[in-house]
Amino acid sequence: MNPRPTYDEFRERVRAFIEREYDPVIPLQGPFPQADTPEKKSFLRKVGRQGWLGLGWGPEYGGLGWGADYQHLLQQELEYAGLPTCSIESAMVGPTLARHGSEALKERFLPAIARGELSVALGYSEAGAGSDLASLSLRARRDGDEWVLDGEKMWTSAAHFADVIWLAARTDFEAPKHRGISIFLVDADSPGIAVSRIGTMHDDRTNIVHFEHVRVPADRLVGEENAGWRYLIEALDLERLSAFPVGNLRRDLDELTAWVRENSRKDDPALLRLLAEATVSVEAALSHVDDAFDLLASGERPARAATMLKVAVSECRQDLADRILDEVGPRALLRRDDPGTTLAGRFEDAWRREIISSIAGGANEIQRDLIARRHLGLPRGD
Amino acid sequence: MGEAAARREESALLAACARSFFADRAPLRHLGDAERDGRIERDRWRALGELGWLGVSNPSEPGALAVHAAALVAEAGRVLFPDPLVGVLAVARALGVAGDPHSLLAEVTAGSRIIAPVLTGAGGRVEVSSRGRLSGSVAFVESPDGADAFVVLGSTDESFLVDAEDPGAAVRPMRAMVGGAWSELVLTRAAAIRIPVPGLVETGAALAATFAAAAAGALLEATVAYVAGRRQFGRPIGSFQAVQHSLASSAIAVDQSRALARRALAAVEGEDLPAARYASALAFVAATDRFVDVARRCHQVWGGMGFSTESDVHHFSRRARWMKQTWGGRTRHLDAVANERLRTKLLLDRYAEARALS
Repeated sequence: MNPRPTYDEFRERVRAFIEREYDPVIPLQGPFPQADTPEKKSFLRKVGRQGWLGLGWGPEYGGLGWGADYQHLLQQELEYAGLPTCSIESAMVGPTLARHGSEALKERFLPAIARGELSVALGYSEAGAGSDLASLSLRARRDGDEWVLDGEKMWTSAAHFADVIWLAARTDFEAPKHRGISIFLVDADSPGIAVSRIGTMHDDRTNIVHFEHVRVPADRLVGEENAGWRYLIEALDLERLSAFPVGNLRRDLDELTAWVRENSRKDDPALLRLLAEATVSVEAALSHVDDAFDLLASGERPARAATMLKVAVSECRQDLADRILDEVGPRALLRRDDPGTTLAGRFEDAWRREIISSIAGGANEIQRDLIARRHLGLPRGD
Repeated sequence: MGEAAARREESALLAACARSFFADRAPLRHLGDAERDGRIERDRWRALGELGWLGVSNPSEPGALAVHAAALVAEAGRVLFPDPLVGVLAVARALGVAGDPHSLLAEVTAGSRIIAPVLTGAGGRVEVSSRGRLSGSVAFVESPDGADAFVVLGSTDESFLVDAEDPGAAVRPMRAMVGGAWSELVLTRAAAIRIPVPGLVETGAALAATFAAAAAGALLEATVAYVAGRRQFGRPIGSFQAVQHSLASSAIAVDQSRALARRALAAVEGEDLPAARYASALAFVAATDRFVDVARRCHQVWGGMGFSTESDVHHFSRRARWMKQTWGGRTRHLDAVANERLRTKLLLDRYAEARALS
């Protein structure tokens, strides 16, 4: 039995672990918080050996069962240190699978995720289905004891290294769009899957994934046929709590603080003002985490706080990078690997990277629609 | 879990009683009259004392600030209560923490003596003579015209008690964006006694943040109700996405203000003074900034109605704009935030040291 520590105890354990196991190569290896390099894979296995990648489900499936709040704390700490978090696997796919998957699927995949040995790509968006995700049209047709998949997914960022794809497909073309979607766990090396690279302005890659008559065993359907939209929404709610750059935002503020603290800078009134304003913005954005934790502690789903957190943290990180680049001089526009850069090129990198944060995981316009309708009770427009 | 639940229940009960009190004795619709009149309504103030509410910030009650004072001040914020509740609660707590050496607390909490805080800095300067007399002037003082005494905080954090009746103390009412009892205090060799008021600014800033967050929340609620009813182009204006997004952004701002104000009150009640300074300064800036932002966005949505004095929106927006300059003002608190940040050991520092050792 592994008794659940307090939040402070857990944070301390994670920090001590990071001190021991930190690999300085990893923060230089690109933005995927998953196992896309050998060093990240090796690190994640060590995290897995602590039991920390399965905090969202119980020991019968290799997890510790401490809850989503602990998974979030882990992610904050790892992200702060520039280390991978497996947020997709541990905080999103795993918990949804734990709730809705068959015993066979749970036994097959959850322990592997908990050990840090499984990478999952999210197959949600399509060229024609971004914010209007419910209009997705990749089709799954039942054929005997298999499903046959045909269509295309887009922005499937981890597809080039993942072991499985968590795929949303249309299984009923007659039903209203939200009621004809199912979720499958598809092996990434299945015949008929072709992955094509799309470059991004953040120097990383995302992918288009083509599915041509891809056969998937029927037991790879997650939960009920045509119930996928509910699972998807649930998973996106969890994503909002865990996959948004809380740890990075804290690190941004600490990097700025350390930089201003150095010699002549801490007497510069403009830089002191920048530091003060940045602190207020960051602390305000992160305050939704407190609210979310209060709700989680009383067993409630932190829907409002998670939605607000997503909007606040994404926009705060964008604005902060912009303001810092305004104030700290042009060398801050040099890239991380240029020796003349300011603040280790962090904000040059952040400015390009965070453009996507207000768009992915549910565009901020959609989040504001949700806040207005679900939480303020305002009427629909149509 | 039991204790937290009990506290929440007490807080809810106090909030309900306070809401009822303010609805009866200080409803928003009378705010215009209160502004014109410009004096503290003494009977109502004594009633607060009789209810025991002027003693809710009592430091010997654990959780008093974060639970009881928070609930009371939030209800006051919702109606933009014009009398100096935040200031007096902060003074009362500070006197309590100092052990009440001049035996002032009994009268303050009874509501028979009003002692208002006066911060120098952006609003003015005060000099202390070798004989301990104060001279100078401070503007933007909350209700000194109705106060019986002032606690004057000098620039070096010395603090003095000055009696309103002192011949060297004069109060000049100001005509300002917010009406009511806001004045300039002019001191000419006024007699003053040194009086310790530990944590006065931190407590006041945290309570002001609580007031601002609640006021912004009340304005948002009223605005949500308004847009559900107001129809244009054949539908409620609250069904237009632009309006919904504006209100959603305001809801985010209100939640942030509330969370930071809660954290600030908890920090002020803790033993860690730098943490209290940081959290209260942070909450003050964040909540007052957001109160103004919310008010401006709500004005846009209320249209002509909000611009007219037929609605209450203008009370909220003017008070919001005013609040940013209270408790020493935004700049003072931003400086405190930066200073505390620079003094904090960062997690980054810990990791850097660990790598240096390995």
